[in-house]
Amino acid sequence: MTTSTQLKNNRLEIVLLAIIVLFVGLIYFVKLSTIPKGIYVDESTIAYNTYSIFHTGKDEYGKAFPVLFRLLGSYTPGLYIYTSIPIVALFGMEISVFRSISAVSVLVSILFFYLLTREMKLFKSRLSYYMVLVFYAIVPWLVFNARLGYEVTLAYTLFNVGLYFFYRALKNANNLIWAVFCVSLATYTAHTQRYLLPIFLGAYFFIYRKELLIKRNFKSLRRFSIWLLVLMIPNMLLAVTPAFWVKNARLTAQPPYDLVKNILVQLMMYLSPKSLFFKMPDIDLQHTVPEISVAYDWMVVPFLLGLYEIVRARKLQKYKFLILLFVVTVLPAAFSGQFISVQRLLPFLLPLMLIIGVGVDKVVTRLRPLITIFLFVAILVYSLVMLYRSYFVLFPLERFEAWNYGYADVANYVVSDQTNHYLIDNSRNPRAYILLLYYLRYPPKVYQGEVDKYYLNNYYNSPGPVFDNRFGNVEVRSLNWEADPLVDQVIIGDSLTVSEGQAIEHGLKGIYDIDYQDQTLFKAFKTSVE
Amino acid sequence: MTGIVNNYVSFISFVISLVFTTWFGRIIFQNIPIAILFLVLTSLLVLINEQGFKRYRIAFIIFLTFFAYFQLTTTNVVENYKITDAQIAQQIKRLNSYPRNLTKLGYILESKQEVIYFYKVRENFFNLLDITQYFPENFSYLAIPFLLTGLYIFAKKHHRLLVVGGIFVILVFTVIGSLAKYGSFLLFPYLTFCIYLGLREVYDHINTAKK
Repeated sequence: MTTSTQLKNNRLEIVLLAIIVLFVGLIYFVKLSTIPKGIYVDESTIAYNTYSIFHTGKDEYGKAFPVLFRLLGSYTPGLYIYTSIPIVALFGMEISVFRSISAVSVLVSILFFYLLTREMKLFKSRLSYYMVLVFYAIVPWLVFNARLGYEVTLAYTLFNVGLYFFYRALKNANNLIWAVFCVSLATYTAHTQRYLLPIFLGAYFFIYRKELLIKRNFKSLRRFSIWLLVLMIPNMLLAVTPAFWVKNARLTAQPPYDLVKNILVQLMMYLSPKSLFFKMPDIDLQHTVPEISVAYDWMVVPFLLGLYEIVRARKLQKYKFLILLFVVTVLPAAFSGQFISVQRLLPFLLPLMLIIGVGVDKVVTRLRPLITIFLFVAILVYSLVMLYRSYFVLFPLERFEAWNYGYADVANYVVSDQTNHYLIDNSRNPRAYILLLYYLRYPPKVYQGEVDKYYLNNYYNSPGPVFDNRFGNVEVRSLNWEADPLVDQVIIGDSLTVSEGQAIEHGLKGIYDIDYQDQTLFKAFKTSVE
Repeated sequence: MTGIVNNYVSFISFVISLVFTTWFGRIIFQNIPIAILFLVLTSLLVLINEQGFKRYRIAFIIFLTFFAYFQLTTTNVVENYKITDAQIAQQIKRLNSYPRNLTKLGYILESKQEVIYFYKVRENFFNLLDITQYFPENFSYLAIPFLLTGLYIFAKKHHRLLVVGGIFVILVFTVIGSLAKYGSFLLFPYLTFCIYLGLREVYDHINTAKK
């Protein structure tokens, strides 16, 4: 190839990539503040703790610059929060600001997806690289995660960038240094990557021992080991605390037989084509989008084709890497205990889409270019229509309760009259206090003074989560029917908190309703102490 | 001598694959004709694999048709396509949530009969691919590695008659759904056969490694 043709090709490549990024960027950013409708507790706890660190240098419990944030008892690694601080300083505290961090990180992940497929020389047809990239960029689970205001998406991107360098390291071991930086940062961003890293590293060095553990690479390997050790120091220091292992509690609490059975069931559940391409098995409605799953239904065909192809030619270096990713990325999800958590399956999206890509390429190489383009456009239109239907129409319609829609109005109501004492019933949403702290922009300095010091003093000992809270003139806890109607206050709860009969019996006067879609989300009652 | 050993290994593998098919142990006591048909069809699949399809082609087609008939008569197809009042209410709610300028798209996606049938057929298809419904209800957990290996061998061998039969089975379920009294048993001879293929492959692999 002549230099001018190469230059032209490079220009075309950049233009195509720019078009793809701009196009999917629109999907990631459009209506970011209103879809998802409401705010999930994970988003609000990240947002409030960012706010708290930004203003006071301490989290909501008063812990100065923690490595793991207690949040709602999850002890989440803090990189996302620290990354958010300058962005919050510039653009404010709206939830769309936090969500846009994920959107930008997914755009970066798209570029590295392309680079990885190129580096792996994964496809025979040049057209496949762009087609698969578009399919990856619009796959429902990536779109869903690109629009979340918490840490999982950033961690996913960091890990994938690391994987790109790990693959490059098979040719040039100097890339291990970049790889170790990226994957280490990912372990300080989300739980899943913390489990994923040791599993991946063990499998990677075992499978590629002949390529990597050679004399020529010793200098790079030594540097890699030193950097890995240095970068893991905070993790290693915290590994002796209960906080570090908090997400393993459900797993280790089981008897060995149940443990093996659960892992097997979970593996089947996650890898079942029905779960991947039709319906998500997650019991948490927040994690699901109606009528769509991780990937589009049609992708089951290239997935099976691709799977067959990589097993058939499993000795090829590129397919070995794919099989390695396919196996290790599903493990953190399978080890998550008895519950199905699609969120932990996010790292699996990369090998899943690469395998689908191999299948797509297999079809593309057998078709004429014109038919390929026609088929591509038809499938793209079908996918975008399904995405629009599920994510932009049905998701806000059917998941607004799971996304705590209505709490902003509760906060506005509380702010509108500061003279009252408010009791907010959290029976069906125990973590509601953090939503109110976020919406009220409650001063972190004041809250740190009000919260029980026990949590600060035993921060990394992982004291159990306590969801009953009191701050300012607001109290968040379950309603006590014996005492609460006798106190002069406003009781706010969902439609099940106070029935009509109970209101009459206890002399509660309905003073305010928050409605949405012909249903009452919250009701406020004034007690009559006389 | 090799032929005898081969037959012996095939027979043992066949028996083990039947033992792994826990559904078979159950159906013997529930419905003998279905159990016999299952046994015959599975044996035919094994025989076609071992000796080629020419001798067994007609028998395979006849028994597969019979088995499909039994599947059809024990499946509640009407119930599968029935739309409940709650689903109609949901349809209306969904239809109303589209922006005004996209009402027509909303109508097509939420109310058009053909599209509703497409959703149903899609659901039937993915229910068939739901591996969790087969384990441990109809097959032992121990069969999983052999089934996966066997599926790969099956795809690799590309046996035309068996592939056409497999596609026929998938099509049947995609249309009729899987609300069936005795489960999606039309598929089971294929799954048991794949377990058999997996067992044979593992045996051959160990044998080659020893040599």
